[in-house]
Amino acid sequence: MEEKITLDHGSGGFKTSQLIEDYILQVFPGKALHERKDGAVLKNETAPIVVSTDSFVVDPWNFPGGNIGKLAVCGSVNDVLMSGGIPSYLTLSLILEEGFLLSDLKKVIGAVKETADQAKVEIVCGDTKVVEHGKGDQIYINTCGIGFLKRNLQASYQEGDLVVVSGSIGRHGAAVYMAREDIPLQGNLFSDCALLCKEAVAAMDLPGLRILRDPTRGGLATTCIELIEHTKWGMELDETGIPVDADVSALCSLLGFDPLYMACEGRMIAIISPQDAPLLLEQLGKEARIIGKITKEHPQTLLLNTRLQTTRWLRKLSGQPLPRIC
Amino acid sequence: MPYQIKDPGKDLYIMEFCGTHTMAIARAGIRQCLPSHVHLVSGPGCPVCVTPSGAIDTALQLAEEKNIMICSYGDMLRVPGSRQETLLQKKAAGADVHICLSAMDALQLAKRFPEKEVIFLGVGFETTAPGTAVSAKIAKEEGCRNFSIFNLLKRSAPAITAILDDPQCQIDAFLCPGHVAAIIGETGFSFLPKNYHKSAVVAGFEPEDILYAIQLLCEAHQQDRIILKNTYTRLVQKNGNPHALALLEEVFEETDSVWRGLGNIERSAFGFRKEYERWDAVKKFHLPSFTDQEPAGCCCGEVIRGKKRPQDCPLFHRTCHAQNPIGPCMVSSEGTCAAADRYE
Repeated sequence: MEEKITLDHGSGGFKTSQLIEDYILQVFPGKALHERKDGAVLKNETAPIVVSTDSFVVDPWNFPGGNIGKLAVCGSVNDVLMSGGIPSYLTLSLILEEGFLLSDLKKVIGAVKETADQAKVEIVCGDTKVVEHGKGDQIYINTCGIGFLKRNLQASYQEGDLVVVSGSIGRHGAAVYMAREDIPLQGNLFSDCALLCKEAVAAMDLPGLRILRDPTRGGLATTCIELIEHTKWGMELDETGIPVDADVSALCSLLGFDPLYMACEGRMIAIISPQDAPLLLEQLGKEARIIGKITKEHPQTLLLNTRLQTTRWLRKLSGQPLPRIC
Repeated sequence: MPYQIKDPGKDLYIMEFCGTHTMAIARAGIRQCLPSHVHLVSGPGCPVCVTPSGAIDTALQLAEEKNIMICSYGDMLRVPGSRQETLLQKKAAGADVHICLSAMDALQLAKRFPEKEVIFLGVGFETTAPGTAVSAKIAKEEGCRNFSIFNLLKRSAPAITAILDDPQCQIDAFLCPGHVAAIIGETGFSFLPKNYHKSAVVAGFEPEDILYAIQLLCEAHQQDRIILKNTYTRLVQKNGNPHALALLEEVFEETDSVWRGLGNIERSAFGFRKEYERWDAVKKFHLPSFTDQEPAGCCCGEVIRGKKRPQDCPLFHRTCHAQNPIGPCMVSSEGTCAAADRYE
């Protein structure tokens, strides 16, 4: 019989130690973690510290293009990057449901390890709790990313600044929805879940960069509104410039979803001066696009220029998107 | 400058029957392409919007039963009943409510959970009716006893007729729903030019599809011609889908039904034939007949009939908005008020 998580694994006793020893410490060699203290003592640098925390409850935990382990590292690492920091450390807390297969835990931790190595972050401390069967959904993860400031990014926009997106939008939201609802469509729709280290560092090296953000929950439209809603600036997006892959677009039109509101987990939005935008595009590769600009017209609102050259306002996502009838 | 449709030179009121058209029109900003003489009026073709509150109340009551699993299309879950309660709230409180993408998904759940009574909320028009018919047919063939359908399916033509029979109706022409036409064909709308002397163009859902259809209606109106045209030939055949039509004929018969905002309309629904009564949730659970009760001040009924625009409703953008929808036209992702709230 396959080994499963039991309440004993969360008791704090022998089984807990064994679980941590076998499934966590063996995977992560970092000194701070192996000291097994209540907290980690980290080496200080002269730069200010950047911290970001995020919890991951994705259903299903394993989805095309990644799993919750990869997502949990990408999520916090990307958030530190988007704040202008270079991530160095990560904490890792697991909430496991009784009955979760240990072989599945191994897969998740394997993805954490692989992604953390790619991001060059060290797992420095963590925690494991077990909840009774039915009181959780297999596995939840919280991570906290810690890094050091490379570039202090403020929303100091100027008229005509350009909005750049690093790749096609909505893949994560669409892939996870398809996996969760078990939609029997064939194709190659996988999540965009990825680290943004290379992209963010390239952007931070350009003097004309104003701000970075990853359009996760709420999608591109909601994130763009967040970027201007507390400033004196407005933003315009061009529908024809926004990259949406054909598979995402097809799924969205089938379900009545708008790709502009579908989550990405490996895409970056940069607001950057028109002088530096071409350099950034070059660094980001052929998927990246200029999709809009900052304007002093219509402050704090987001306007979409449609492909018919009409305009409409974009508002924040309201409520969870529900598939339509026909 | 947006693309501009040529002015027909006199007022032209076009009703888009279908909620997906309403949404596409708002999303693409199509009103900005129209000359001042052309007016688009939304019709009753949003399944969520025309489902009476009494039917939602019945579904809510069923959801409270311990052994019942309610299966529904996603956008029905946010529709409030007469006491502003929704299936989404019931689900949060622990009721067994599942989002399904088709009636067949619900039938699969019935097979997976034989201890549960699985009830599928069958809403929609000719587009979803054949899929619902398939599930009933298979349930019958396989003798699946724990599956039934709360049948709220409606037929498009009787609702259009009810609107046109109103002496105050101003509509000159119709933008006909491509998805419904895929089932009933271009001929399913031939009653419009024949019996009512109104032009009708079947259209797809891309902005260009809609613009082209409006352009044709404008040209015809300018030349005082009445036309019936199918511009969605990549999907719609002249006589529709014969397999789907045969299936509808086999499983359903025409019955009267209550429409939100329009009241009772004769022969406007797909009722189960006698052989399928066993899978009819109304018969199986002896469900009471229901009425429609609008929330106080809500103008959804008039919006559905094309008599008012969302902006004319005293609740619109005051108490009724996307975060706090009161009427069904705001709740539905395809509703006229939701389209106006989100995009205009």
